[in-house]
Amino acid sequence: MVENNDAVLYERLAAKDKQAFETLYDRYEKLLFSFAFKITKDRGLAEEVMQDVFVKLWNGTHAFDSSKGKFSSWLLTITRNKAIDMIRKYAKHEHVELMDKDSLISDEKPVDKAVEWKEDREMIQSAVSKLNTEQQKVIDLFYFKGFSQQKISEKCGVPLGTVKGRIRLALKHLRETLEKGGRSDYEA
Amino acid sequence: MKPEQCHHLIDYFNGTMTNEESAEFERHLQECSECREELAEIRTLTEDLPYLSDPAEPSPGLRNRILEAAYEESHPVEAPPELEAFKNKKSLNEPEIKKSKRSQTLIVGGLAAGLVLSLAANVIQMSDDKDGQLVQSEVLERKVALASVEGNETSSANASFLKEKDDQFMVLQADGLPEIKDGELYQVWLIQGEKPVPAGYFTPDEKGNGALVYKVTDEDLDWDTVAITVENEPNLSAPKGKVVLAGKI
Repeated sequence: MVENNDAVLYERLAAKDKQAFETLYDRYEKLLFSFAFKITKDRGLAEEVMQDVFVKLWNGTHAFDSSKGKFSSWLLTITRNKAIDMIRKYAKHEHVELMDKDSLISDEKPVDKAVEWKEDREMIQSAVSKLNTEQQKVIDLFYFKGFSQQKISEKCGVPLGTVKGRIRLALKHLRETLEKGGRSDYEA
Repeated sequence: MKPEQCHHLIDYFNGTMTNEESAEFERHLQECSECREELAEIRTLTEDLPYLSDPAEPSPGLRNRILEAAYEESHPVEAPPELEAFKNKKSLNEPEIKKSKRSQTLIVGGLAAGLVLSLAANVIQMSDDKDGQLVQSEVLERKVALASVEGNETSSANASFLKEKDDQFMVLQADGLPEIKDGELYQVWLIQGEKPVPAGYFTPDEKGNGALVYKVTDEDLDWDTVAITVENEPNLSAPKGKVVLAGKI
């Protein structure tokens, strides 16, 4: 259990406690930036995403409700929404797609080995590698690119009516593999 | 045979629908337990995916830039005593209000053609979780009723303009607003001709009720319209999102 857990820090932040806000910022800066960068593939856009998320967190536009789940999941969701909104706005994914591979797993070796979610990443990457190529692709198009059902159907060459089922099946396979591997939660 | 709406879950999750389509899907969600379960399932199953991200280093100056930007946000002003009653939800004998007859086309057209006008705004935001109302007092100068531009009878808002010594405030209360997505907000605008000025923003409670108090910083402008739009960013120089409610002053 992390001392000063996220929910407690958030309550303090909501009461305009700068120290709590900065503690949460420090705790999530790298994860959120890395996630935003994975989606946008652009450092500038990823930083814009970060600024939008944290400014709205501080000013109360983004309000966390602890009854609806973990703070980290909520924060990652609003980060994803903003990042996908950005790539739509800047229509960058048309260029990025040309360089994209079907696999969710990067071939590049991360520079920093000593990161907080290293264990989780390795476990999830290992689970993803057990999915077939089509399932990896459908998760990437759906989750990291935020494409519409129509576009996923076109890109994967599958009927529109089967897209939702394929996404759910791929995600369930991933979760089952993870559960066999006995992953631990990032947030205490 | 599944209802047509059941096929829109993925697009709802990814926010690729229009606001109207999203609102329609949300109404469907209330009636369709299967879609509610599938949505919850997708949310749960995607929780791990951000951790696939390879570590990337943000710029060294990012932390300071973000903290500065956050702390530079508008500073709350002190509410006049009359507004305390509003916060305490006392009752009010409201004057008769006529619904705005202004057409949707005119409002939307005027907003869409809005010119950039930046004014500093001091905003106090409050949540209005019940049907709190403002106490009528000598300082109440005028009141404006905002009506739904789409004829949605359940959504309504009132803007009261108050004078407190040398300061003027607008108190806005909205009821029955459509639910908005994470990251979206309701932005209030004061409009003169084709010049919109952001006048605070809020996110409604679960019942779609919200309120804010805005300190009017430029009384020389002769406002003719109060409008509420759905936006992704607060205090833009001109509206980008859909107009939900509007009323002529």
